[in-house]
Amino acid sequence: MDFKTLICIVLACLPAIIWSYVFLNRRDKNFKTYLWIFLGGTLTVFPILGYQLLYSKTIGQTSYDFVGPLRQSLSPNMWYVVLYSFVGITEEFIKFLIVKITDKRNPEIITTLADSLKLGILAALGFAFSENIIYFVRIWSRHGFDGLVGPFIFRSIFTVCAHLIFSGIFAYYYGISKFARDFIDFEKWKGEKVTIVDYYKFRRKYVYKGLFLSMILHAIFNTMLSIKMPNNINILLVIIQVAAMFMFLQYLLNQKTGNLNFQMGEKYNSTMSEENEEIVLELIGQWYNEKKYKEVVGVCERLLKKDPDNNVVKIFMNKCKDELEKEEES
Amino acid sequence: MAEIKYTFSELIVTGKPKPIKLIVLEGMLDESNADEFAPKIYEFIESMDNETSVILDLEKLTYMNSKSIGYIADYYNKVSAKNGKIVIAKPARNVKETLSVVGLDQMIPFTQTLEEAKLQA
Repeated sequence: MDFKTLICIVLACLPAIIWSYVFLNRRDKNFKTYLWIFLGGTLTVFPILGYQLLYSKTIGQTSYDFVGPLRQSLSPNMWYVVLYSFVGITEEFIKFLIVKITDKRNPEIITTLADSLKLGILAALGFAFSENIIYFVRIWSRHGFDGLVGPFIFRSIFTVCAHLIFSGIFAYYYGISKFARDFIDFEKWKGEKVTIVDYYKFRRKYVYKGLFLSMILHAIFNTMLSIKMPNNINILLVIIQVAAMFMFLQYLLNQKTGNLNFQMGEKYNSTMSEENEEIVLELIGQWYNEKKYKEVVGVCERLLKKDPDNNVVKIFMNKCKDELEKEEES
Repeated sequence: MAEIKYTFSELIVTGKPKPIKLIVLEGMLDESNADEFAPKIYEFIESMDNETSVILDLEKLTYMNSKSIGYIADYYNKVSAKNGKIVIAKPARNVKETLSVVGLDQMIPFTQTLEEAKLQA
């Protein structure tokens, strides 16, 4: 490894350390697993690199090349839209797979929506770390070390943050889909008519929603960075986009519902009869709809003493606490 | 439709100058009859004088659905607005458990006997 690459690795470490400090709690119990997810994330740059290599060595050399003619048929800005949308969508999908595979192998890691969000952030952090090394080496080679300062600052602050947010968003929705049964039950006790089909619909809906949101936001971000606009107004738009997304992610992380601990598994240990518990849940649903949030919190606290693992009661309680906080703020 | 029987009466308690009304419920209050039954109690409370207390005897009430529990909370508000008290006497175990989890026992005294209820009222 040459000196230049080594320095670039050190430089890429800086935003990774700082952002992990901002988003992740150092007291997290799953530190070792988090490290593995980060390392997994670092590998997610390879599919895009592999695709580029494969293309240039195979199809790009033949008459079947469809990319060249496509590029020629589009204006430069339009070409960037297509190219960077493709790249952004692919990257998000790969990071999503890292989160999904980790969760399937270690389902005990994600017990809160915030845990899920953190997993997405870690995968993205690994990805951004690798991508930064590649970019830094490339920029240093082309423009010298002085030319690296500006891109280093911009990428460390905005690009890395944006990557974390894209993945944090899909991972948050992945978390909701993971606890679909509890959220569906929550809807049911609120008085919505739900069937078993809704459970599957709900799971898919939230996975797709999260993926779609992160892919679209990533595509917009990439495109805005690449196209040419007068007075570099595109850079200002990128900064606004990142700031808005950052606030949205902080909002998701700080919500009580986002931090509630879901009991894993099917068996609940309640000291109350099922029939009585259903009566109370029905009442909780009615009062929730009537916005009697304080009363619902009180009932939930008492019910959780008898059935501490009931996720639906926890959802009701935390939703009400979130609503009460909103009322206090306003 | 589930069956619900009810009686309204007035209790004379020596040493208690304020009037006490007794409502005895028997049967089940569920989705099929809760809404239909509630207005009868509302009318009864409306017809009461100020500072009248109510004892709800639930010994023979075997089931209450969520709506009925909501109504009890509302009866409490109505009676309190008339400066009266409400006491629940002899609730069945399952009914008592649900009412307690809902938190009604923090507003309304529960008693094991009618005599205790008269003293609380």
